[in-house]
Amino acid sequence: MTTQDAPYLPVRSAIPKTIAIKGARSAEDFADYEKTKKRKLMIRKLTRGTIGLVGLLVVWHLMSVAYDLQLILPTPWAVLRRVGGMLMMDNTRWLYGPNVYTHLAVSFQRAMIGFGLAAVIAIPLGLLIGRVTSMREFIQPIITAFYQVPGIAWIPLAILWFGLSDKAVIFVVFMTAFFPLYYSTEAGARQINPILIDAGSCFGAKGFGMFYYVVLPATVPHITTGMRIALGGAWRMIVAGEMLASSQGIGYMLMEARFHFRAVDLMTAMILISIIGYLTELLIVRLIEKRTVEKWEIKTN
Amino acid sequence: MERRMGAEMSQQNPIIRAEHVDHYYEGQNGWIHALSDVSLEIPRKEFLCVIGPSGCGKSTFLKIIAGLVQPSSGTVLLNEAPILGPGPDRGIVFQEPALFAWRTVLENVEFGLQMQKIPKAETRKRAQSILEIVGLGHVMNLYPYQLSGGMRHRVAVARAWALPNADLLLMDEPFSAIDAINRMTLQDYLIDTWMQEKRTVLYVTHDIDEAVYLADRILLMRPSPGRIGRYFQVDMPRKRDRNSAEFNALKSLITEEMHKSADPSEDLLDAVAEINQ
Ligand SMILES: Nc1ncnc2c1ncn2[C@@H]1O[C@H](COP(=O)(O)OP(=O)(O)OP(=O)(O)O)[C@@H](O)[C@H]1O
Ligand SMILES: [Mg+2]
Repeated sequence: MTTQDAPYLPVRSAIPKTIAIKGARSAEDFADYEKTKKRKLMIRKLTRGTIGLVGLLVVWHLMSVAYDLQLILPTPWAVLRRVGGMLMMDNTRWLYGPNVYTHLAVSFQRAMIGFGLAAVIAIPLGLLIGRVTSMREFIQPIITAFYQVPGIAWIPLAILWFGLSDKAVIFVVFMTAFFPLYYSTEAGARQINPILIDAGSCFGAKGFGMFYYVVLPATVPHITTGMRIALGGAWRMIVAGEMLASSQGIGYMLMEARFHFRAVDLMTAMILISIIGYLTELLIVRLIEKRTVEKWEIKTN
Repeated sequence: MERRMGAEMSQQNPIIRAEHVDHYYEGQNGWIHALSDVSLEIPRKEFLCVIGPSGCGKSTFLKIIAGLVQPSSGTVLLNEAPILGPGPDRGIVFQEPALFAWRTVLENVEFGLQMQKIPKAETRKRAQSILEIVGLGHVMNLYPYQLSGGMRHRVAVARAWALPNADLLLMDEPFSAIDAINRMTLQDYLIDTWMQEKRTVLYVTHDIDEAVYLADRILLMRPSPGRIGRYFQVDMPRKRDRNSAEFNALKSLITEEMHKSADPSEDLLDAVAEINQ
């Protein structure tokens, strides 16, 4: 290699491989090529994810067998069988009242009501307080004061107010989901690029129109982030709430399984919680993101 | 009879009357004097171009008229009434496109009409025809992120043009991000539409050629602090010939003045001249 060649080398290696599509010149060729590429990337992602999960299962199995811990750490296979069994309602050693679907449905319903109420209140409030200084000055101190109290600390008071009931659990879920939703929405609304607000007002948007057509869409990326955190919190709190204040639901099932020393049922319930949590996030947040942020290609700054 | 008198009077009054406007911004080390003692009148239906070096307060003045910035002191009257805030009686094109990322090109252009509750069908027709004019008919249904930089600026222009009741158009370097050929086309469209339905235009630009081509009158602003420099009346009939001797003579005169005004020693000379008076 001569010294004269040297400067060109980095340039050549910087050309991405994707440019070299053999014989692809038309838009259709390129669309085809892109589709295959996307599928390949998807498959690769799935393979890698699966390898990770299987690795975890193997370690889990080895620990369980090697240290002979089946009683407190059942093997993955035993747990998976139990998940299947419960979902098929095969009734072997079933110690928890009605079937698993009822418990799941009760928990799911409570989580959604608590989360929904939080969303209905926190999002408009966050938008308003993010944009209107006088509102912020009146209300922000109140919210900051309440924010310091962790959701779980509301459980005793909730039991006092609502008894051992749905309402008590929904209340603590609400208290947990409210703050992440509120704070992300408020921060998002406050940080909107001022020129968008200027553009809105110059073109005649005011009052509700300004909020609905400018502030809300501009804040969506923050709102979905808040939703994601709030949903996670709601699921955590549903379990805690039901352990203490309910005789139904997946949290109650967990507590009962501990009383009966059934580690396999404990872990089964935990896996079900994880799956349902994942599915709700997928259904709610991902759906909203697909129709908004991803369509418009806007991100949080 | 009296009413007609009134109407005639309001025709003669300037649409904008600024008196002794000063504006300060809070900067990192103290306050920036962005505008100093700016007084000016814009007659109805005038096409006024504002030129001047970067940072001389052109955008600030435009925002004051738009109602987005409250001047530190002085008064600005729009139709003889103080400006209380922004509104759709003034169409505005910002220096950056400032499009709504969540609306398609068409929906962006429709925004102002939709806010004024103009019937849907009429809104759509008007927005579509304006998009055709600025050459964006084929991308109406795309989102802003799918456009090139110059296309975004054209959408911003279309959004302002679409406002039906705006007597005053405020444009802040609307075509500066657009290639030379397209820019000339758009300048022609702008002048054509303006000749058809005359309204007042306040047009900020860096491009002297553009100013001479478009304006009835050119205001050259001077920097630090931003203030009125001098005016140039452009009396050439439209459409103007960019190659005519008159056109080029005016261009070089303005260029020369702009160089002079950017030179700080000019200030000193002015001050000396004032003292000597
Ligand atoms: N929001 C702001 N905060 C602080 N200073 C500002 C602000 N906006 C403008 N300035 C300052 O005010 C002065 C005038 O700014 P302005 O944007 O009006 O200039 P301009 O003539 O439009 O310049 P350009 O031709 O580069 O667009 C500049 O010195 C700028 O730094
Ligand atoms: Mg500017």
